Amino acid sequence: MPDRGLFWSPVPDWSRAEIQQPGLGITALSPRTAWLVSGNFSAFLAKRGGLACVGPRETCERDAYSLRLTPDRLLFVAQDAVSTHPETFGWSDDGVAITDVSDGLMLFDVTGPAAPALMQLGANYEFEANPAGPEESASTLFAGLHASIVRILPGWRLHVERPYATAMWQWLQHAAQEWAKPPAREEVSP
Amino acid sequence: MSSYTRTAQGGAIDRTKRLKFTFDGGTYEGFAGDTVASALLANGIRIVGRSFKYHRPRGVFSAGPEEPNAILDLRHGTRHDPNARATLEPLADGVVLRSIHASGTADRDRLAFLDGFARFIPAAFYYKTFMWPKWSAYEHRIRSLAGLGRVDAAGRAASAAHRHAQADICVVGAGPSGLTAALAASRDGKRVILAEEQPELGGSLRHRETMIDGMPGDAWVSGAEQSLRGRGVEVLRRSIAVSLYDHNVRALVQKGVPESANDERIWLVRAGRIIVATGAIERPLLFANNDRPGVMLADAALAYLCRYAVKLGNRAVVATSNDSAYEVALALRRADSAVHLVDSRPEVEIDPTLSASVRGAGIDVLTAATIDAVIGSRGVEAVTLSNGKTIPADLVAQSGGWTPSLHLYCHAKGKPQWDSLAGSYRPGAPVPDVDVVGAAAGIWDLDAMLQHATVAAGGEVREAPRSTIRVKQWTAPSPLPRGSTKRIWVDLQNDVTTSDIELAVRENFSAIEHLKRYTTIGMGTDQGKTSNVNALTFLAANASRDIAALGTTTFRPPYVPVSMATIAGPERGQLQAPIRRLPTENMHRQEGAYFRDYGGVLRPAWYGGDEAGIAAECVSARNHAVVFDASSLGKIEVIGPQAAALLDFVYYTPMSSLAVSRARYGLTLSEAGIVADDGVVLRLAANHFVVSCSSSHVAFMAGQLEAWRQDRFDLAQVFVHDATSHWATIAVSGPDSKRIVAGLELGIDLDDSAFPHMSVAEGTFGGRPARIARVSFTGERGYEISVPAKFGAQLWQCVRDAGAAPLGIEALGVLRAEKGYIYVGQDTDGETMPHDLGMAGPRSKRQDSFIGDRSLFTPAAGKLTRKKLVGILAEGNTPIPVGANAIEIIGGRRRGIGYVTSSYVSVHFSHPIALGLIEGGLERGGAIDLEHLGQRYKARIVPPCFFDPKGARLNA
Repeated sequence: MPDRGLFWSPVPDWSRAEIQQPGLGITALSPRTAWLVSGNFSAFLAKRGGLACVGPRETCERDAYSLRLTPDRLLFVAQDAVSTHPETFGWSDDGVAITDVSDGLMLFDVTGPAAPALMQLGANYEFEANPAGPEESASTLFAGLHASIVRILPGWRLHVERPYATAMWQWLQHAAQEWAKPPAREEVSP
Repeated sequence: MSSYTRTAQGGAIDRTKRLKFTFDGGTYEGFAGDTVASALLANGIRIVGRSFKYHRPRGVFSAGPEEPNAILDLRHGTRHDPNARATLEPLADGVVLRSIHASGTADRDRLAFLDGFARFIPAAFYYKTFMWPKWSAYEHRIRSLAGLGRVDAAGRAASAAHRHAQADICVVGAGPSGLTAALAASRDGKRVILAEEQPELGGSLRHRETMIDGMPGDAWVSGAEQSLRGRGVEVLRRSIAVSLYDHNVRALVQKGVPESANDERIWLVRAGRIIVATGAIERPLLFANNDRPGVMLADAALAYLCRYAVKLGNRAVVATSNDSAYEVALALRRADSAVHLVDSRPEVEIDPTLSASVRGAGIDVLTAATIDAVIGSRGVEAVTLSNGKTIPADLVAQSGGWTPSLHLYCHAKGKPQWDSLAGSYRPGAPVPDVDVVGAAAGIWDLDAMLQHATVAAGGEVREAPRSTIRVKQWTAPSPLPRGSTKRIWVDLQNDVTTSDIELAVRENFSAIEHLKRYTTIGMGTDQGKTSNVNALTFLAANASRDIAALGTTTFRPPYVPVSMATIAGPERGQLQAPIRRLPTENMHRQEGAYFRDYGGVLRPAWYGGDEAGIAAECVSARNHAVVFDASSLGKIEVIGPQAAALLDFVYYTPMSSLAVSRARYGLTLSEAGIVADDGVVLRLAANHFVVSCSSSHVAFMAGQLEAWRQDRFDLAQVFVHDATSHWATIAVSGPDSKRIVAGLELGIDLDDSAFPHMSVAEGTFGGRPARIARVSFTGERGYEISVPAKFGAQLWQCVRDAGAAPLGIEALGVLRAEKGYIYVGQDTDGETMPHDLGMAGPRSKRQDSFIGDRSLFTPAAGKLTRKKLVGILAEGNTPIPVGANAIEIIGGRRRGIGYVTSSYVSVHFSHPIALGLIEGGLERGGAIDLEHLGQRYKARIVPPCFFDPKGARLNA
């Protein structure tokens, strides 16, 4: 059997992973803090200044936000160092389970005028529509891979499990290249 | 000489833009706006292909997606389509076309002689004839004679990424009904997508004479198009709706996509409502030699004349059973063709005004008459009629009525209903959120169509465009042929004749699904668009059955063929089935790792140049120390007051009795009691466990835990978090491992009394959290150190610098087999229960419920002859292949009693060893015979643990 390392390209150097082309920018970054939080997370959110739990069509701030994954689970993401010291990982008496997954995720920020079109390539989901309801999950399939998505203006942020980050990056490169070509709709018009 | 000519004027082609193309080696010219089919016809090419089975000459038959004959191999630039439908393909400059069925060219086919043997090769001939010695002896040759275009094996056509779109209303088809529906739907700001298979909108309005709102049809289409643009309606041209799925998800194939190497792209459109305005497909008539070039659908002849300025005959016979072909006859007459109109209806049933109009134009009208046969072998030369008359002709334009195009309605589980008056099916009961309008709904009067489409799209009747041209009867039952001795084609693409249907009925294949499979009718790439209703009609008459009770075959997506490249889109190469990557992958590349895919994870198989390194890795593990990347092992956290109870239920091995800071090996079972996974559970705190399951079972185990959590536990008392990706796990193993781990300064007491085998502790590595588990899969003292993934490479390097050699999966496989440790899924199969692996304790002792508990006590579970895990020691030095069957010979007959699941050459023993599942297990004992691909092996059954059975080396 051939060396499959020759088929699969190496994992990118994430510190240099960036796409910049007219109308579209994509950058890769690692979160400082990412926790899975389950249970009574209203208490958890209250401790963080009443942070809202958002779905894929709600806008949030880049510094700290909570993504709604399931009715009783969220993904808390923050870039500040203070947040990396919770009371405890595991079970806490106020009914919250917290697990550190900071190194398990890669984030991809998609920005620019072509960002909505690129997002449309990835999923059959109206990312620009109004939120459907408070139960809407940020977790979805994007480009055939599991991803959690949130709106961070002026674009979107994809949260991808690190083992699949290379595949997502390759897909984003492909989609960006394709989008750089003339749109099909104008070409096929008589 | 062909009678096909380009008229001097007219048509929607751009005569200022000449396009060159080749067909079967000849060079020709067409115009921008031509389709491949119209350009071929304009160049006088009658024969564009050969039939599937008999290699009879075939010409262009239609002007749309129903085309059964004109399917060509098309090359243009980098694009190659081995089965391009000429009627849907716009002509491009430089396109190279070849016929696909012919041996030679379509015009001169060396296999044309096969038609002379037609009587010997009827339907099902192959099934009945090529039985001895076996079908495969003939298959290759027969398939090379038949089939469609040949895929270029070296070709790697890529397709663009799929597009997704959402709409309130999606209208399929931009004929009069579709345009009207889109206009009505977009009036109040709804988001509307309009998809049309042709490059231009308008459908029949582009070649039929109509007046809508006081304007000619084409002018009305232009106005409608402008209005739609103004309202932001997304118009997708050359986009065929190929399927309709649940939740109104519709797949479109868009052609003419420049950024797609194969010219195509799939759109997935999710719409609140679908309006199906797909029109109707004209039905052919049944008469002898109705497959000859020059016999075509009447509406297609009109389309070629009006849209593409191609006159297809100087002496035309227009044969019909309805009113729609009268306009065709008039148009041909205006183009100076001599026209005979043969109408199967008696004079009294024909609209006198219509009749008078054609007679007034100088058309010879014969009523209550049908065509008996076409005369001519390479094209139409004359026709004989039912009244005995023979008419010289070079074109037969036929209309046996119209068949509503109900494919999308049927994809949405709609049930079509037989309309005896129209002689075709029409939509039955409505389907939620799917409206069928226009001709697709069996409405033939244009004014009624426009009103119906308006209302269906949410408008009111008064808002509908109006047409003053009335159509009385566009469709009627097709007349059936009278006992002809000549062949009458029902399905042109698959070469099925009426005699094939008669044969099927005689052999009792008279159910429509049986008929389809027996004769292959409707199974071509045209999916029987022009043949199915005629087949049903003929079958019903032949089997003396009520056609309404016959039903239809299943309408399955796609509506037209879609290439695999288009379906794949960009999901090819590395994106076809993405693999999980280790956080330290690039470090392993620097170490010279040879990679393989293991359970969906790209992992080092061994290090160094070749497989010889595997043995050296084994020696290092037994004598010194090795480092192994175990990052892909599961790290699923189970948290909460009911965590222990959940694990007790999910695991065969109880976990609630596990002390904090200890680890326990356990099995999970399916509900059938079959071993599903194995792994180690770590208890970090009273309410906090980590499930370290097999690498390839992480998603399964996370799902299993979550599913049972939601099924039977308090949702506020236990939670499942998969944190596998967060951790890099570096396993250090071997007699020297303790020294190496001590040098890492993890901040924990490594003394065996404080940190014995199967313990877990939390420390730090370089100031970062580290989790250290004392476990082993090699049989040697071992430590698994998990650190946040970003620090995995740093930890690996530290361990390497301390003297540990890298260990790949292949060497690990040898080491674990020496210890008799199993790989679930390799050393177990779909029948293996825990007591087959020697783990009967919980089965006999546990009183509480757990997954699979009851299945462990079925009669089958208690059989003494169950296959059990054993060690197999080969006699001699030849390794026994994995999969080799263990056999016993009783009374001279061989019987399989199990098989080899894992096999290696043990480096420690310098001897082949194996694991296997053998009936009776160790109790069988002694010598055993094995066989693989005719080779015999002798071996002995031994306990599965070959090395250090007392486990002394775990503390070495």
